[in-house]
Amino acid sequence: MRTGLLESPVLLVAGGGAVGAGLRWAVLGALPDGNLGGDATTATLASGGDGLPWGLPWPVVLVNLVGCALLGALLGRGVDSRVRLLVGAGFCGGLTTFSTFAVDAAGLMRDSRAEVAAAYLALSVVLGLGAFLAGRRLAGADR
Amino acid sequence: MSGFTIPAFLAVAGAGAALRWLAADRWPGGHRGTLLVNVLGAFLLGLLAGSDASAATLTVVGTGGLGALTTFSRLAQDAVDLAEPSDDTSPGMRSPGVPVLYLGTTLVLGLAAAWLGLEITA
Repeated sequence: MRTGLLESPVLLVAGGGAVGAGLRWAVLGALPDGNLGGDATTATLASGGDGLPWGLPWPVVLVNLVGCALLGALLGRGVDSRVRLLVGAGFCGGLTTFSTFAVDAAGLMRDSRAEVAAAYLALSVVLGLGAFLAGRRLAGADR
Repeated sequence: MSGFTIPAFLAVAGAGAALRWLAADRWPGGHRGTLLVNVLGAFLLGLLAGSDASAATLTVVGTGGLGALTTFSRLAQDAVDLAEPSDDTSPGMRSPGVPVLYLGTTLVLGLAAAWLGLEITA
């Protein structure tokens, strides 16, 4: 079966992923201490957190929370497979990140700030799961 | 940042997202694929963050490629799916510890991988 360009799963995911990652780049760059490409030239933190409440990298928490909520909403709403690929696997997957999260947390532990790292881990997981479930419930509530 | 940064970022991020989807959809498949790309991406970003790479490289490869290769939203989705056996069509038994095990494995391996990456290049 011949499929058009917009039917290609890989291209849908790549396109959505590029936009989601671009938005993450913009958000992390616009918020304080959020930019990986900023002055993080040493082996400390990828996205900072210094000077923010509790020393946590809140911008990363924010993009991960929003991406989880949006993915939950998509799945709760029951969108068609192309939207799931473009917005779900693509945009939400590109907006959220695990690598920056892991390097930040490892950097905090290397800086002997294990309690901040633990708080960051717990907060990210709890808020991410909570946002996903809340998004799914809200989007599916009217069905 | 040169004018090349934005198109390079979009292309590399798109490739990272596509690789992540292939890992979850084709091989090794499902939450194992997501675990693989998350741990691999954490290791590579650790290497990169510890190195003396330029700001443009950090942005394009780190924020773009490795950020899009890894995911937190699919991690949350997989954990919730693993906790809800009603969605499961396979006949195997499912314990309530499975989503906790999946999250714990991802966090422990991801942190260890990021740490290792930082150790190697820092």
